Formats: sequence, C-alpha cells, structure tokens
Amino acid sequence: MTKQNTLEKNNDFYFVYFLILGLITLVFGITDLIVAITGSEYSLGVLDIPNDGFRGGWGGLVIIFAGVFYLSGLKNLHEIHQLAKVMMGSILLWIIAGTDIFAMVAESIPGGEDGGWFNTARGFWEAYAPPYTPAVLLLPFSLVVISCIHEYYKKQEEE
Amino acid sequence: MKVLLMGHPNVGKSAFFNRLTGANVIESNYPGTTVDYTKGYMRLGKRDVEVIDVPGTFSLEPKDKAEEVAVKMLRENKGAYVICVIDASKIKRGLYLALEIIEEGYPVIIALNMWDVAIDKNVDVDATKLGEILGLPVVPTIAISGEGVSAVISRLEKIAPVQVGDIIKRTGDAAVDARLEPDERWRLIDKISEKTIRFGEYKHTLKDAVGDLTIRPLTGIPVAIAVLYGFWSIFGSFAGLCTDGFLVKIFDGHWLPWLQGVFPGGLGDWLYAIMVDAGHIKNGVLVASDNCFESFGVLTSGLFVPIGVVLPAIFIFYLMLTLLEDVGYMPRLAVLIDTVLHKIGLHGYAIVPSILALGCNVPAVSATRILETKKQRFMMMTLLAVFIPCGAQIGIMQDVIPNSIGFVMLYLFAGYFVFGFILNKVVPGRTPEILMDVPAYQKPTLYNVGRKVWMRTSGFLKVAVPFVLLGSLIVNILYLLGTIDWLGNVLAPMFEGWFGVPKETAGPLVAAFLRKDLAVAQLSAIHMTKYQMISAVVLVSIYFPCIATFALMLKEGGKTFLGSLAVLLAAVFTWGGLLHLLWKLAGVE
Repeated sequence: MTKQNTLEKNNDFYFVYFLILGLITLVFGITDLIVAITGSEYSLGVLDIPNDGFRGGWGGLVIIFAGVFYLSGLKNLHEIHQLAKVMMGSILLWIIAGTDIFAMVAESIPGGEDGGWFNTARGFWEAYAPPYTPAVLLLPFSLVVISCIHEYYKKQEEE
Repeated sequence: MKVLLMGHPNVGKSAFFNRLTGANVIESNYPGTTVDYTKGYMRLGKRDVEVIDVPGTFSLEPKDKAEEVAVKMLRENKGAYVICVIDASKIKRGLYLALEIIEEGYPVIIALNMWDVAIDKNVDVDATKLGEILGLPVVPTIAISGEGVSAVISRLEKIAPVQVGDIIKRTGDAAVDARLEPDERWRLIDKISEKTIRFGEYKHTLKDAVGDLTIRPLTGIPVAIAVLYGFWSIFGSFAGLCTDGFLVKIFDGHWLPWLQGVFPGGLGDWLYAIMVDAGHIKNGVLVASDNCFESFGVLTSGLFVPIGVVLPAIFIFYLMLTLLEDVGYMPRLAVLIDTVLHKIGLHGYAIVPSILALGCNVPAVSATRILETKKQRFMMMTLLAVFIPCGAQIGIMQDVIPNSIGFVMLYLFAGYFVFGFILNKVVPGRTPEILMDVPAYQKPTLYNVGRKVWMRTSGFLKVAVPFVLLGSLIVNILYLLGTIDWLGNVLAPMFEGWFGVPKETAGPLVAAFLRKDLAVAQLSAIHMTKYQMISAVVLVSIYFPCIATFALMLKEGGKTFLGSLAVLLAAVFTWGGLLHLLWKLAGVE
C-alpha cells in the first residue's frame, strides 16, 4: 500500500471547500454581469457590485471563468492538471481583486479636485473601508490554493 | 576583429549582447525581438572589438526578412569570429546552425545558453566532451544573469576555424571533404549527441500544467480575457492617478496661470496666442482658458499633452507589456490567436506587432519583419497603421472620451479584421503555416524590466515632445493665418455630409499628421455631440499615420507603400463614413 500524501488525505476537505468557493464565485460573477447589464446599483452590507460595463461586465465575466475553473478542477485535486485548474481559478480572482485594490490605492492618495495635493489621513483610510467588490471579498478564501500547492511540492520532494 | 552573435530566435542573444557590450538592447521572452542587427563594442584585452547582435535564424537558408538580414550579415563579414548561442535544452537544433557556420569556415565558440533551463528539463550535456569533438570551446552560460559570459570572452581570442571533416573523424566515421547535405548534417548531430548528451526523464511540473491551460483555446481564451482586463484596469487606474490626481493640478492650477501672468503680450497678442493661450469667445468676449487642454499654446497644451497625459499612460503601458513579454505570455497569446489571424491571412506572431503598435506604431512597423512573406508584411503594416491607435492616443482618449473609449477600440478592431479579410482576398501572395516555438514561463528580472521600460519611455519622450511642440506651433500658425478655417470651409461638405463631424475637425486632422494624441486633445476643444466626438476620434485614428510611422513605412514597405496609402484612403472613406451611417440609422447623430 502506497503512503498517502497530505493533499490526498485532505482531498475530501478540499473538494467541499472548492465546491462551495466555486459556486459562490460563479454566483458573484453572474450577479456582477446582471448588475452591469441592467446598470442598477447593488450594495448589500459589505458587498458592493460595480454597475459599469468594464468592472462589472468584463470583470464579472472573468469571475464566472474563475468559478468554472474551480468547479472543473476540484475532483482529484492531487492530480497535477486538476490542481492547475484550481490554481488558475485563484489566479483569475487575484487579477480582478488585485486591480480592484490597485484602483482603491490610486483613489486614496490624491486630495481630490478641490483638496490639497494629498488626501487627508481620514480620507485615505476611508478609501479602504467597506463595502468591497465580490473579488476582494473572495480574495482571502482563494488563498487556500497556496496550501494545496505547498502540499503538492512537499509530496514532490518526498518522492 | 569583429564578433557576430548568432543563434536561433529567442535563445538569449540580445541578453548576451547587453552583457558583452553593456549596451541597452530590448530583450524579450519571445522570438523576433531582434529584427535588424545592432552594433556595439566590447573590451577584449586592450582593444575595443565590434560586436554585432544578428537577428535569430534557424539555418543559413533564410525564410523571412529577419533571417535574410542574419545570413547577409554573416556573408558580409568574412573572417569575423562567431559566438553561436544555443538553447542548451534544445541543443540538437542549435548544433545544426553551428555546423553550417563551421562549414562556412568561420571561427566559432559555442555558448550553451539557458543552462539552468536545460538542468530543469533534465537535459545533461557534457560540454567538455562536446568541445573536444567539435574542436572548439563550448561554454555553459546563463546570459540573463551573466553566468559564463566572462568565460566566453576569455576564450574568444583563441578560437580558430575547424574542418567539418575532422569533426566527423572524431565521431568515428570516415571524413568527407564535400559540404554536408542536410541529411548528413542531421546524422552527424545524432552521432555527436549520442556521445555528449543524455536526455533524462522529464516530469511534467505544475508550472507546465498551468502553462498548458494558457495555450488550449477552451481554457486559454478565458485566461487571455482576464489578462487583458488586468492590463487595461491597471492602465486606467495608474493613468488616472497621475493625470487627474496630480498633473492636471500642476498644469491647470500652477503652470497655466503662471505663464498667463508672466508671458509678454497677453490675450489677443499673436505670439501669446501661439505660445500660451489663444483664448475663446464667451458671450461675444475673448476670455482666457482655464485649462491646458483648451489653451492650445505651444508651452501649455504642447507640454501638457505629452507630459501631463501621455507620459503616465505610456509608462504603465510599457511596464505591463514588458512584464507580459518577459514572463513569456506573448507567444502563448500568439498560439491562441493563430486560428483567428489565419482567417485574415496572417499568423499568430502578427499579434507581436499588433500589440507593440498599441504602444507606438514605429517599432511595430519594424516588428513586421518577423512575418514571412511580402503579402503578410504589407497587410500587417497597413492594418496597424490604420486601425491600431498608439498608447499616446489611447492615453488622451482615456481623458477626453472615458465612457466611449471601449466602443472606439471595438470599432477600430472590427475594421482591422474586416479590412484584413478583404486584403487577404485581394492581395496576391502566400500565407504559409508556421510552427511556433513556445518558450518556458520565466520570472522577469527587475534589471531587465526596469531597463526596457526606461528605454521605451525615454524613446517616446524624445520623439513625442518635439513633435507635439512642433504640431502645436504649426496648427496655431495655420489658425492665425486663417488656413485651417479655409480648409474647414472647403472640406465642410465632406466633413459634415459624409463623416458627420464639424468642419472645425480640419485643424486636429492637420495636427494628426504630426501627433495623433495632440489631435485628439484638440478635438476636445471643439463643440460637438458625443456621437460626433466618437466619429471624429475614429477619423483621427484611421486617417494618415503620424509622420514617424509614415517615414518608416516608406523605408520598410518600399513600393508597396503606395498600396498601403490606397488602403488607407479606402478605410478613411468607408469605415469613417459607415460610422456616420450607423448613427443616422440609430437616430442619434
């Protein structure tokens, strides 16, 4: 009997985890797209869905792709090509979340049309306050893939 | 003494050249970075030796214009020393070219570059033994980090021509005097490889699996959509931060009022109008402008356009492009888009000049050399000059028509494919299939990224600032002389009737021949509807290429340039007029 590695041992956990994450990502992406098409504002608690064609439409499409990557890769995650799909799902989310965060940073620095050169300390911190876009909210959950990659490489080293 | 750097495309020759000479040559992780030769000097002992970075070629039987340049360089430099740069992980292919050069009688030293990649791929080359069989120095190198480069330099002076017959003898076969036929050359390479190379088992890594996902259409297209999203999102955020956040404040809040205060003459004076502010009529009174977009002066609009708006856009564009190039994503994009581009008679690598053109049309016209046939080069040159707006223009569009920029880009790209399809049917010539070599993903180095972005951005500034200043000067003088008004009146039936734009568009169209970014900035000062503005921006884009692109197209295209001009005129009238028709049909003029 071959010795199981951690990734194989935790296969069931990762299966359920990425199934839930994939479904939520897919739902967020579809909502993004619908909100962008209808052009109506949507904000609920810490969640804010952008209604412009670029972030909501194009970005929403990418979030849908991320969800599909998660769902298509969750079975047999210890297999390299399946792990690559889940990793790609996270990479797509990182692209969207990264650009959303970069946009927040870009808006937080200058003082605005009538203000000074730089934003006030209060204005700076307020720029990072909730609500957040779906990709930013999903960002911490997408980082779990790093643990999978770490376990995969640990297995490689053992072999 | 001359040294030629030769090898296949994308084996690191440009990186090697930069290490040898300390020069700044663009190096990228895709084939065709060098489409013309570059000269530099290296220190060898106590003298300076000329080094030539020759475009990549697979053999001495050229298949495209860049390979023709490579073979011509070799033939024109009899007696030159040749550093043959070979990708150590694909050594057999590289040895073919090396043997061809040896047979021509040149003294050769082999740099087994990308040694680290070969180790990763479990390719074990006995460099010492290979050197003994070939009778010349073989040095493992990693040009991007500089490893082994000094060993190549130290052994360069001692190399001498070798006879291919001696190499054959050392493999244990009977020597032949005549030149080798391709089959014989491959047999010799097999013999040499048996004695010197061991190909170990290669395990598919996670990096390879992720790489595969970016190439297969089903998974690669979503990834491409995400990458392009990231590209434009960062582009928009960064350009907005610099321009709206700081540079508008500097130019409109400080520079313009200061110049309005200190420049002699004041409003209404001709020199003041040319250099600072032409002003505008409000309620029948000439009033001063309150922003640099509308002031039109050489020292106001002329500096604000290239530095305040375009520079941040160009900087971030080149930074993102360089990262994609150095990571190795461009060849994957080329593979993905190959099928689509074949429909218009081009192939996947046409994406390289097309994307370069989004930065600046000038290097993009040079990059068309990687295409194999005259037909493909003519088509590519024409399409990019007509339908691909440069980064400077996009930067201004981002400021002038932020909500319509997506539509303008889509309309232009649609024109690229429609006219490409027509040209493919009409223009005679071949559109051959190609095999694309996809390099491994690499981690970009800060040194290379920084150097490339600096070279490209400073290159832009050197070209753009003088042209924008000159453009502002010429247009302002023409305004003062009444030439623009006269031109507008003469062409009014065509502008208003066919294109659906105001006759005042004549001024920006004159400026567009010098700089398209300046032209779009000037459009913003003309009173027109949203739809007229979109039509006018499209017109500026597809109308004559800027003068720098124009000159290079003439040089590269020769006689075919007249054909490009004919296509350009057809595109301006049909594609420009069609948009007006669409607005009419939609009832939104």
